[in-house]
Amino acid sequence: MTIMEQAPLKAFGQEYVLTKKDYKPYLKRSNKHGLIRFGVHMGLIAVAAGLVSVTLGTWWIVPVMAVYAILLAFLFAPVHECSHGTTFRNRRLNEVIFWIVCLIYMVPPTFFRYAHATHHTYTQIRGWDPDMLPERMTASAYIKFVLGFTFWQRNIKWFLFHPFGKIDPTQRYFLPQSEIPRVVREARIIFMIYAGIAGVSIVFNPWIPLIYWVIPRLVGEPFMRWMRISEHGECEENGDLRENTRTTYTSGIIRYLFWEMPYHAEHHLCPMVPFHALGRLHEKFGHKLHAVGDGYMSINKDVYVKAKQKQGVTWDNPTSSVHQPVSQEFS
Amino acid sequence: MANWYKVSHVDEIEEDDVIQVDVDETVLCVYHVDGSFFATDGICTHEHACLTDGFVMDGVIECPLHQGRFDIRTGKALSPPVTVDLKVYPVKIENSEIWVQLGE
Repeated sequence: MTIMEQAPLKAFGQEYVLTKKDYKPYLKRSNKHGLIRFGVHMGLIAVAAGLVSVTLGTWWIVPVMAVYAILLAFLFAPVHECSHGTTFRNRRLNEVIFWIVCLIYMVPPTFFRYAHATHHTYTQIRGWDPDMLPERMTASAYIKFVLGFTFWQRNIKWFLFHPFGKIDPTQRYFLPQSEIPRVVREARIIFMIYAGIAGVSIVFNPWIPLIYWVIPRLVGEPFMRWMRISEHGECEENGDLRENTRTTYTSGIIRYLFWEMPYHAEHHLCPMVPFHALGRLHEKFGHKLHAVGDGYMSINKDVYVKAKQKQGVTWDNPTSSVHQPVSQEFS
Repeated sequence: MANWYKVSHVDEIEEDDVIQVDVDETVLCVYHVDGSFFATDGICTHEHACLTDGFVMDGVIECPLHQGRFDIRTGKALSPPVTVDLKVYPVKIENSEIWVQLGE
């Protein structure tokens, strides 16, 4: 019997940390917080893009492009927040911004939403969590992951195959049958938008999308992969939300640009809490979380050393499971 | 056969809030929205999550696990990842007590 044929264990543990009464004050949605954070983020991107244009042809382009690329990579944060529907009180606004940031960041909105929902259901459960790191992570696998090879390989497949209705059989389990037409339709729209951008730019100026979008996305993604490895890398593979997800201490600037995602354990404990309330949730309940990392550098060093020595604490422990998925229409 | 069951008292559910009530083997959510009371199935149709732990806002219940949303009045699934509507039940108030009708 393969791991996929076993009944999965769902992520659990919230009940040991906080009750509904505890988290209810943090659930309030706000258009203001979302608009300010999104406006500042896009404003910084616009300023950086301006600096890219004035430093082109000089050595200054190297650091300026790095900053610009990192700011674009941080758009993963609003992609993620909007996928939860917690960025704004107004749901329509949430969905419009979700589409915009997904197009720039290069992920398909609905498919990402389902994949991410499944990551929350089966956090760190081998064979069920679509975001898990490789079971036998080697140093070269770590480097491949951080450089973004696995990210682009996966996303390019999504964009090329989904428009033709071809969805990877290993990923179908998290997509309800009735949603496949929507995913295919979205993939076709995105394909046409990207093809349109390519066509127009070839006619007028092919360098503009390359310099301001494609190249910085390729340059910046490793930074995002490097940061995101801290969220679950080397955490327990046991489904317990107190142990399988890590909150990372970092600077206020990084927290701001990452839309408070360094408070990742708090986010997994209570995904309904919007980004702007995660810090307050951490102040009150962070001490109950077992996995707290002291900076991205030290976590990555730890993960890399263990990957190199193949000392993953739980990598030899595929999870035994107790519950079946209960969706009424999962294929 | 349809039967009415007393499930709560109007003072026991705050405005824009939800409680869970188990009637025999049926898990129900009973809501207080805009001064009115409503009842739906208590388990999300997407994954096995108790909607009573969710968030009530603007007449919508949001699932605590994946933030799928349902219209409290109609049970309609409003946004992914939920795609199957929630069952809704008739509610009546008598002497400030909340009654829900179950059965065919």
